[in-house]
Amino acid sequence: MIAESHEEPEAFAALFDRHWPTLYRYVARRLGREVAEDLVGEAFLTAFERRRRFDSRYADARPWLFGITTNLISKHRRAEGARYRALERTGRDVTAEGPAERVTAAVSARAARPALAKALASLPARDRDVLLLVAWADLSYEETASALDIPIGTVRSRLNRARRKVRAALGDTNPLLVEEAFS
Amino acid sequence: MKDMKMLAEMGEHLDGEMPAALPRQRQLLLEATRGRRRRARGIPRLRLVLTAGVLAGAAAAGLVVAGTGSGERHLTPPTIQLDSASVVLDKAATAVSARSYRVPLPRQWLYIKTAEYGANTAGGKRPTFDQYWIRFDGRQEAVIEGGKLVVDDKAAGGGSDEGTPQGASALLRSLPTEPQALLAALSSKVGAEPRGDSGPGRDGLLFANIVQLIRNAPAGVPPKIQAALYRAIATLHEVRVDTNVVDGLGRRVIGVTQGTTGSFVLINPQTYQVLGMQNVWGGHPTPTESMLAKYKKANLRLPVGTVTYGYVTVTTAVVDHAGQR
Repeated sequence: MIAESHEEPEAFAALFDRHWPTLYRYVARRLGREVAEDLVGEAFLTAFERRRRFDSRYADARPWLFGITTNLISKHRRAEGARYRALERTGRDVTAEGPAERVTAAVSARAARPALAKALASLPARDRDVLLLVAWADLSYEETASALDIPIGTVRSRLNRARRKVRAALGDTNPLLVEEAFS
Repeated sequence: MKDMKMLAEMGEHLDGEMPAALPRQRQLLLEATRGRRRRARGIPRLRLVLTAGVLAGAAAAGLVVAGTGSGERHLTPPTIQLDSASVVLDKAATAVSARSYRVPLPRQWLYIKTAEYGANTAGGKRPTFDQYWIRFDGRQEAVIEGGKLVVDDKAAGGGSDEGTPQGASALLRSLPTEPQALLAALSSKVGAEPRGDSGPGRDGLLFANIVQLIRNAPAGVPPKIQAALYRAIATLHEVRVDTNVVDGLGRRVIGVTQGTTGSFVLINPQTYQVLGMQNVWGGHPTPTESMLAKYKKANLRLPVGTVTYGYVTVTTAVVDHAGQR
């Protein structure tokens, strides 16, 4: 599909149809609906311009597209932090106003939202990117490594570090073994 | 996994949502791509077309061979010192094949210190350092948090075995030590079947996979395999080597790149071990980047050659206990 798009940009639309909803939902979770629409549009335009780089890097478009999207999200770090802090204060996700949310969201999950939001806001951007690509974009470790251009070991390390903070925020006080003090 | 489940539930109400903006976004993309195709046909864009073989002669003459979309060739002054990829990579292969190598024990630990830097990172030119320990079998990890060493025994689970140092090592040891047989094995693994004359695409995929195989093995690569990997890279199309690259820590290193991505693999010129990678700004913004720049969402004023992103290893050591360096 990508190879076809080198000569026939319309073929790129098929890629859009396949991946736009997934990317939109991912960005909407991180930055809200309005930003998501524009940002994912930018991501696809960027992807189109870089399409010649695609087939030389990845066998699957998803990590490549999420890599581009993550770079664009990085330009909205402040807005993302503010969003998590608002969720921490109110416990209310501004994207969760539709009837579907009232049906699907479990009470326990809703109750945990402020704590989760606080944990997300406190994470370094590099750890948060890994955590959310795995948890929200459903990328494998290998796909996350490709998307972010880092070794798989770094994906594991950043994910574990982020999860420790999330677990601590959820009140899991015994996920860790503290061995010794370091100066 | 309770934490991941609860996290996944945040925003899952969006899962069934198909926003009204979808048709409009699709139309915008189509219009934009059609417009760019017309422009692309009208104005041939300068694009570097370099091969290892051509470069050997070009570097000797102090020139870089560049091609255009119309197939014309021009000679332009070099901006970087280029070296024959095959010569440098053969030298690297010879050096690494002579070193000793021992597979760590499953319960030994790897201490890894890394640095991240570049114009597109929060720290800019100033590197951000990170360090952690991972047991060779991948069952535990450790970091220093709040001045304390924290060992995480929930590190296991998730990801394939290739994601652990032991798994990455086993995968590497299963590969052929003859370069062409190695490429054939990797082609089969990644599904990069040759497609007519589209060599660079296939070779780009192989290059990226070879680099990732090496970077995924923090305990090092078996010498004969590493030598074969370097010699295999040298046979790929559009491979360039620059022996005067400086990484974000000020270290002079060897940069190896394939195609026109601007992404360089960095190799230590003394040990010939892979240190990491960095992306370099080529000074040719895409129309999208130009558009984003109007909204201050992209910085096009970076000097050509600026590193936009780098991720390198500072130290790697095999130790008996987490916390040792």
